Amino acid sequence: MALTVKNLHKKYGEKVVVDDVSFSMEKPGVYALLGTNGAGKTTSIRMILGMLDKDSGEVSWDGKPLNFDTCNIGYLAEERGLYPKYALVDQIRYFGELKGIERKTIDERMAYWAERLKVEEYLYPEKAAAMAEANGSGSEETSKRQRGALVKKKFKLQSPDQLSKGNQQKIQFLIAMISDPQLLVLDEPFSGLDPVNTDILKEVVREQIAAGKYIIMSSHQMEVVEEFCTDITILHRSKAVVTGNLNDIKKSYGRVNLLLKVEQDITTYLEKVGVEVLSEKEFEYQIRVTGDAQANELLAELVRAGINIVRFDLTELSLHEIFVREVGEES
Amino acid sequence: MNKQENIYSLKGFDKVFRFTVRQTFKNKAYITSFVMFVLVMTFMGPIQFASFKTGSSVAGDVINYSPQSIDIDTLYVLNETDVPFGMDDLDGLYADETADGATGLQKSKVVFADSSNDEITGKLDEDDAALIVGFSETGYAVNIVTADETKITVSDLDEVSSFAAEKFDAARLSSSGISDADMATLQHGISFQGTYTEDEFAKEDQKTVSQMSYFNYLLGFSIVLMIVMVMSSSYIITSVNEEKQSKLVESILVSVRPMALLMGKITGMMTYVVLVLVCGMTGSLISNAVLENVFDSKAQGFDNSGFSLSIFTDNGIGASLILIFAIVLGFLTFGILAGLFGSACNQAEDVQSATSSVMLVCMVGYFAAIGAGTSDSSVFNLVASIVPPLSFYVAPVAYITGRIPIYILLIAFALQIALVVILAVVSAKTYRNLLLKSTGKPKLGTILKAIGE
Repeated sequence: MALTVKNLHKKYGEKVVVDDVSFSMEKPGVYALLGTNGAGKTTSIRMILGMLDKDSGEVSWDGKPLNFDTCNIGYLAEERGLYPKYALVDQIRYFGELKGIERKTIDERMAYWAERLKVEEYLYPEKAAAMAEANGSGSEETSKRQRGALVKKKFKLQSPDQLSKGNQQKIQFLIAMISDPQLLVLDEPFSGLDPVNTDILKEVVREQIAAGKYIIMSSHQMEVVEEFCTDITILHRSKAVVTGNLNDIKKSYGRVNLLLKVEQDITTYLEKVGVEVLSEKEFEYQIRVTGDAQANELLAELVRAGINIVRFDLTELSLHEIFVREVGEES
Repeated sequence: MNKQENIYSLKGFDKVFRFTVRQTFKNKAYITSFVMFVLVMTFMGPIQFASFKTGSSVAGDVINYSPQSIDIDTLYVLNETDVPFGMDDLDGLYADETADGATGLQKSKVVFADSSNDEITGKLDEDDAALIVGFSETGYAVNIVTADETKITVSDLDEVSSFAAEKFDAARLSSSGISDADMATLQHGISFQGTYTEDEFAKEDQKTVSQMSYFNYLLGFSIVLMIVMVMSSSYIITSVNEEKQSKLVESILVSVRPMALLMGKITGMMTYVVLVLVCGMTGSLISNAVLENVFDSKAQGFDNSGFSLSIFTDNGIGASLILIFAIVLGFLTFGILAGLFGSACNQAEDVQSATSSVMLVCMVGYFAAIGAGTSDSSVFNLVASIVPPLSFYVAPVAYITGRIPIYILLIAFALQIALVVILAVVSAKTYRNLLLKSTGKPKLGTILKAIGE
């Protein structure tokens, strides 16, 4: 299996919104599609998924044009929502049926993901009520009947528009997963989630990676993306400004971040070597060096001077820094 | 989208259709509308019959003259003509004097005068009236005269003069020695239809029903068609907009192509509307049958109960199939149009504007069709049968009633099918674009702009 995106191009009127974007996924994992607001990420995703006509370019899955006939696709859109008045179970079954899955399989997967994403009480309120009642929910003073009524009230079937944004998002994620997709496209999957739900979703993403799924992820939360992705494309003003393997990209920028901790003031040595001090707090320095050579030169100076070195960490740029470096100044 | 992909594919249509139907029949608002429509259609006949009965009893008061209610002290009758017109000819004008507490115009108070007109009218009291049978410029005249300060009501005077005029008409014909059968022959009217060329006369001769029946057929069919189109357009626009507003549409479009999505919705809503109509019509037919068999409505002169479905039943199965085919074409045209307008809506407030636009086109066709039925002009019928949206209403009825030949009907259907195909092609290209972006107001211009993208 492989996903290939070649020379995607789209313009609205005279305005080019996606300009010659290409990338490929040769093996399972997470591919990050990053960019500033309006850079063309969502338009690119829509073209990749066949929702939007492209002016030129090709998207193929395993050598065939990518569409939902050739690939089982799961998609969590950036603009999220549910039918406000239809029962959640009906909505999930509908999406499963659209994917050609049998009702029995849909129900089994729905039950699995409801438990996994902790949304059972919204999908199966009666079951949740029965469990809560059996577990003795409610105060001890209340009679069994009163307790039953209280529990039923608490677990009353909610219409989708009564659910919190985070829970709606989890239901939508469940919908994306109902077909057990080969290709999963997640547009801003973590936005709007609290830390607990973010962790639940991260765990699921890790499982999907381990299960050999292809995932395209678009997000503004660089640290989260960096946690998962192996390859990236950074879009800026409709063009891909950085594309490739994240490690290779990082290597190309060199190891330029130096975290240095000593026990005395070393300003003289820093000035002598000519490094850029980003911050300093109690002899702990965040330093930008030009590369390994300059870092080694500084280390040699400090050793020669008999300075006690507590910490000397030379690291690559973070994804956040790469992003800001590529698009930050202009944007 | 990959150019190789078939954007007209209907794969998944059946699932969208089933979901739309299921959710429609789970929705309280739709269920309420369903029940209301069926009840209205079912009870329209009985309500019309009840008002007919009330109306006929009022009308009966006029036609079936009631002498007991006439409050005239003395009625002078002056016959200035040569037609024999006496006390016996006015049989029925008088109230029964032998009844207890007899009221009204009694025979003893009707005086056949031989005085002149001036002499009678000069001595009338406030409770008296004079019935003068004489001449006008165009023929005979029956007039009634009262004192200036009369207390007699206008309705009493009208009743007496109408009754007397009817009796005098019978008396004058009878005096000529004409039999009852001859009288019936004489009283049948003659209508002047117009002047025709040979070709026009041949066309006129092909008409299987009168203009009145044609109008009634056209009205009945147009109402059914308009209900189908207006109801379903409104529901489709609401449904499409709901999907767009819910932001779910992106998730749906990775599972089903826009054509299948739109057509699934349209046919799902069509099923709902057709079921409303079928249940309503069935209810209407049942209530009509009850009226006819239990209340003897036809014998009482009531034959216009409920929806006029006679065009579907009077002309055979072939005609019914033509009508149903025409309804399907009309539905598809307006359904796709409604889907496009619905997809151009951004918020709930836009739905009203979109619905008005589609309904406007519906109404133009409807009123033009009624116009065609009223005028029954062969040129108007021909044009209305060919040009959509008029042809949806006019063509099948005009053909069934012999007003247009079959090749005109086929041309009309061909044009309608072409219109459906064009709209389908446009919608396949445009529907998705409109769903995925925020547009301006739902106008034709917005849709046309989306076609170009």
